[in-house]
Amino acid sequence: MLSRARRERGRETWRRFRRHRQAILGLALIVLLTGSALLAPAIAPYDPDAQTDIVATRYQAPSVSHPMGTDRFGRDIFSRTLYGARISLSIGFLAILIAITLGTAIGAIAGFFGGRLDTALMRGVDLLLSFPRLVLLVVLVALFEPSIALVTLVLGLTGWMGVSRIVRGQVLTVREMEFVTAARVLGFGRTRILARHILPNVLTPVIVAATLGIGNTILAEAALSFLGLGVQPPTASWGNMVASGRDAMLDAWWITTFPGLAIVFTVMAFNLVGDGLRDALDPRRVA
Amino acid sequence: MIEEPVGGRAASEGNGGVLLEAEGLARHYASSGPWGAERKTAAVQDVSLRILRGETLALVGESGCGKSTTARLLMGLEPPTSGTVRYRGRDLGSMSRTELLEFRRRVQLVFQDPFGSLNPRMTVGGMLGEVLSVHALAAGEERGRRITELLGLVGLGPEAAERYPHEFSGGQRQRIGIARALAVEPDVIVADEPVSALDVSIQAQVLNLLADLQERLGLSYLFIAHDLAVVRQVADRVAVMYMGRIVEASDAATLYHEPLHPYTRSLLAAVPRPWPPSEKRRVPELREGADPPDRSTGCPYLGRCRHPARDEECSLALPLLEERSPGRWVRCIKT
Ligand SMILES: Nc1ncnc2c1ncn2[C@@H]1O[C@H](COP(=O)(O)OP(=O)(O)OP(=O)(O)O)[C@@H](O)[C@H]1O
Ligand code: SF4
Ligand SMILES: [Mg+2]
Repeated sequence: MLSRARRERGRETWRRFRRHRQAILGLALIVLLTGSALLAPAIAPYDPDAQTDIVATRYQAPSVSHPMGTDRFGRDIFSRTLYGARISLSIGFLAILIAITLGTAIGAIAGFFGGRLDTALMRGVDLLLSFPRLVLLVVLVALFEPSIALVTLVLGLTGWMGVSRIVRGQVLTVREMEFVTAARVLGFGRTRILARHILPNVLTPVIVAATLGIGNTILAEAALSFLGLGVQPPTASWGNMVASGRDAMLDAWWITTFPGLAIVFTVMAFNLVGDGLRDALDPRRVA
Repeated sequence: MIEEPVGGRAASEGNGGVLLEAEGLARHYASSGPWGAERKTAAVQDVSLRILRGETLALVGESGCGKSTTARLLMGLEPPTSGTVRYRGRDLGSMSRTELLEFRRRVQLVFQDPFGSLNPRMTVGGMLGEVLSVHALAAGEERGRRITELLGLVGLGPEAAERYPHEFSGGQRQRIGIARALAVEPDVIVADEPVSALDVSIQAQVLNLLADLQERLGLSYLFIAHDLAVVRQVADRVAVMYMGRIVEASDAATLYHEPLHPYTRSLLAAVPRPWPPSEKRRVPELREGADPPDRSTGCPYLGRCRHPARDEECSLALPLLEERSPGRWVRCIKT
């Protein structure tokens, strides 16, 4: 059961969030995208992978029967974009979940325990951040057989460093606060202090970073799939759909354009919501 | 002497009712000065004090004189550079885990800042309940009853349990902090400027609450304040601190009536109170160069001292804290 106070706090955050028109637009887009991804089997007019009479059905421009046209195998782009949303969004959500879990754990340990452990962990973060992410991704993926699970894991493993820095900084601030001293004086153990008193007070920026990070993750997944290192055809992902249409870009623009737009809108939607959340969760900021 | 607080326990003090005791406490901080040069700040030096059962010892001094550092050392929040803290005769530095946990139950801290000292993400009931659960003091239905009881002790209604700290005023938050400290049934409470962050109108209420709780629960207080006015109505004994050292200590009535150390007098002068007329004579000028360039020798108060008898002698050696009459200590060679 939610306490009255918690409900009120939630309501206040929602009120501040609502003032951001763009954030609301972003949220609506995310709801629409997630909804259609979930309902893809019901909405999609065609089987996304079915190929029948390729010669007759391929490279059809958008029309009533194929609202986004067909690709070079005669597959319905609209259906594939819907199914691609399932893949791209779930990779995005799962990978960011891995990233924030890792980032929060490592950042919290570094900030809370400090000393050599902190130095070692943060040097490691600096080192990882000194490589461009795409290079890390390509190297890691190239070592193994490409699969959706691998892509998700690798995106998560390369996406936590920023979060860990944020969390470490927050923990350093919060651990000096008097309520933490109070907890020590009351004889609470270190694990309890970290988990129950420090972490809940550093989560706001983590939520914001996670929301902003989903967009990036989806973009990175698209890039990998575009390079042929991510989701493997025939399974549709927005990245490999764009890749598959790049030879025919001028003659059959729709093959690349629609999944491309899906990527752009999704990334934008998460960034808008992230910005709105940042303002709404921080009462000191005036929207 | 007042009886055991709620949930009585075997008294085990065989040393004249001394609960918490500091002996020769010192705490140095290394701070890096300009160009990386390391400077040592002696925040606390040679502090000895005893908190007796049921009494209020006030520790008074201006900002930065080392009061909070003394409190942190007494609470075992940081180790002293030298000296010892003892609780019921047991050295804090050599306590086992179980002994330390017991110490945490018996000695509690109340903070100055009513905003920073409460976890903003926890309801008041959550905070109190956590203390009760960690120390296995009350479970199930009993826990809810105890929370209500604790809130009642500090003058808050049971509905406060459901709320978050930001929904309360400064004075109410201070009450919550006190309730949290009381949850473990302590016998000593170190209160570090518990009212200095509050409106003057609220200060009296919180002071009354503390006095009332002392009477009902038989608590001992170390009451820290930066002026003597606040302490007047609560203190049994007063220790005055200057630059990390105790410069005067005595029972409260004597100290207010007849302060000895020039610093205590200046503090009392800040409280509306006439400076003794005999002291109004012109303060003699010190000879040039008499103020020692090295502050480690001589009286640390020399530069600010308005004592009529102040002279070069004061710059020769650090005055010792001497007992002038039973229970009256002063660190000044001219009084
Ligand atoms: N962690 C620390 N590191 C370095 N110096 C410190 C530290 N804590 C305190 N000090 C220094 O020790 C001295 C005493 O500080 P302390 O906080 O004990 O004073 P205080 O009497 O409580 O003052 P206030 O009335 O402002 O609370 C100050 O000069 C302070 O700068
Ligand atoms: S010793 Fe001298 S300088 Fe120090 S307080 Fe006494 S009179 Fe003043
Ligand atoms: Mg202080």
